[in-house]
Amino acid sequence: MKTYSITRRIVAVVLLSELVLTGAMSVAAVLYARHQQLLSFEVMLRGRADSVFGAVGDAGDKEDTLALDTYSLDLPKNDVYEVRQDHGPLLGRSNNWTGIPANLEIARDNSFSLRINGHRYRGIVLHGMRSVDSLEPGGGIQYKVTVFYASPTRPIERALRQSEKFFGFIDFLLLLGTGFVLVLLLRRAAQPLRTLAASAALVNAQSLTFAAPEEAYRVEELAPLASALDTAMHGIERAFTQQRDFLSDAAHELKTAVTLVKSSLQLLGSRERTIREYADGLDLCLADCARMEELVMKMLTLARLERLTAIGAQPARTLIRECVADVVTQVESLAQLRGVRMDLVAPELLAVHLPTDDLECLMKNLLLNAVQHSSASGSIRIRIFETEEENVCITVTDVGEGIAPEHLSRIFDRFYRGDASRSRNTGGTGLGLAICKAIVEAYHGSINIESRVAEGTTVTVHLPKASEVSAAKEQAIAR
Amino acid sequence: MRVLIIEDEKRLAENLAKALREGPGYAVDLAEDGEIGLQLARDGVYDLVLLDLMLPVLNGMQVLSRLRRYGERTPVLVLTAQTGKASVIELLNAGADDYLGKPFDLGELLARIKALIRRGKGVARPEIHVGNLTVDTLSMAVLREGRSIELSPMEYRILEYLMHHPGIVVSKKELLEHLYDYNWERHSNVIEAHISNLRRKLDLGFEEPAVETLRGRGYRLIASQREHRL
Repeated sequence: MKTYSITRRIVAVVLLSELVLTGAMSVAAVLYARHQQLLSFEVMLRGRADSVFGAVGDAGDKEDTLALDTYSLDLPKNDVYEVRQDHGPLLGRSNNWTGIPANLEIARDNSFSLRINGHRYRGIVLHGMRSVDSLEPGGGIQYKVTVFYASPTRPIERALRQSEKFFGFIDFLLLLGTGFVLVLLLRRAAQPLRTLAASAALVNAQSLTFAAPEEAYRVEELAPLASALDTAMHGIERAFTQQRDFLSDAAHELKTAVTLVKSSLQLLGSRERTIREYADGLDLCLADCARMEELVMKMLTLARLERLTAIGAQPARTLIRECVADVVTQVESLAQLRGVRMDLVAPELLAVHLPTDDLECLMKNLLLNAVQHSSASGSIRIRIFETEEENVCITVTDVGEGIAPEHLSRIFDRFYRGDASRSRNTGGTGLGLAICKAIVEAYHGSINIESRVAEGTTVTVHLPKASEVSAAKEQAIAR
Repeated sequence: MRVLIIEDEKRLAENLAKALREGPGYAVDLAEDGEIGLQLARDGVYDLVLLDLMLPVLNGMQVLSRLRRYGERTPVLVLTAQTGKASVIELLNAGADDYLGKPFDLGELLARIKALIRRGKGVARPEIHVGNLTVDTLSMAVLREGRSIELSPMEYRILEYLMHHPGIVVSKKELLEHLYDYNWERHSNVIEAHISNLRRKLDLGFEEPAVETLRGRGYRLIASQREHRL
């Protein structure tokens, strides 16, 4: 993969456009200077040609011819000229010229250019009239005179080349200066990006704590990235912490369970005992093993539900009344043992988006909890109904000891036992309600608990409703 | 000796209590959560506290640090599922005297408990010598001038406690507190009966009494008997 630098790109684009701009301006300036130079050159040529013309006068001879007075002329030594009388003789010519070449092309504005000894010359043609003896009666004789005057263009070219050089140099300085400033500015602008990258680089498997630096949030373009990183890292950190806490809690529970079985067996073998004692001890060990098994199964259930939440649950539908009635029957014997009555009210046809197994597991946990915490000869009310928001609502209400407010907020936490006597003594693993919550959340529902000490507890579950017709059909097919 | 077990797993706590009662013959009390445990431990009648780390209400770490803040010097052995270096260092620095990772071996736990109690009383070896008396706390054998003496478990416990406090007057109340847990009916005349049996067995065939009774104050193991060390 080829990498590229945004800074370098921006600098290149800015410098390139600047180059084009200054180049165009320089060309325009040079062209304008050239125009000005040519204009003043023209004026100069005309002036000099005029002075040559002025030097044409009466030759002072009898024929009243014209002559060129070269003595009074003071002209640059590189300039050339020639003066002709129309249809007459050559009146004069500068010494450094051999004369007008035969093929001289004269433009419409009376200008011409030519080469003399390899140098470029530019010249003009001046037509004029000269009269001889104009004071005499009859007005004298009029002569048409033509002056050809040319001057080398080298000084103009030199001046133009110099101004070109000057502009080029200025352009170069400008580009260099702006390039330097641009790089500095861009470096400063990219500083928050580097800070953000540096703080992100500190994150590793051991330390997931991350907070985007304040300066990243001050940059409008960087703020979305910073906040996205913050959110993502917080989520990951929370998930990791939860996972780690769960693992450590699970390890504690499992190690305690193993310790229990091990100590029971060691105690049993520590001395000679009666057969009765051995039998009782083994029974206890078996019961402890059963609890350990339950713990492991529940932990596996939680792991499965977690995976389900992550990958999305398969769609399934269950007729709720039938399923809950089954669970009530299963729990009945325990309830009778404690003298607790259960009372279920549910509509005949109402289905939820939940597989039967998970719904059963959810209801069993809720009902067992209710039975265990009911006061003797109390009653448990189970109500199932459809809400206005097209959800199915299940409430399980017991009359019993209730839960203290300080434990209520953490009651769904894994392995949370607010009160030792509450779950350990009733054989709980501290996972029942955590499993309920995991099931409900895996299927996009919600679970809430309300309780008053010495009055009782109500658990409310909301689950998405499914079409009862297809649910009935599916169950019929399953049978 | 009397041990407090603070452990919320009831079955495990019962197993440990049974092992301690059956083995070294200690009196054992149980606490199911950190708060109750802390209250009991502050009574100062325990020779050792066995503390689980994950407890309801107050966790083991809180119990430990509060106990030490109150100035309680009872040895504390922590039972923990976390045996990572950091957590062990944290534990010991918070005032724990020893720790044992779950799942542990019952035999090792008992040995560590005995060692901690011994250390707590300033004794390094499992055998205790006072005057011409020797008590082996491992085999629970009692010797006076090399002659073996058979004692009942309660008599042994009283003697062991007195051996840890030689020459010091130990009140009846103290003996009751350290040798009986809360589940026992405590009557001072029970102690008196055990003491008189103990004295009869110890002094059989010896001129000088091993244990002195100070009326209204308590009992004292006479430490200044003619030394007869091994």
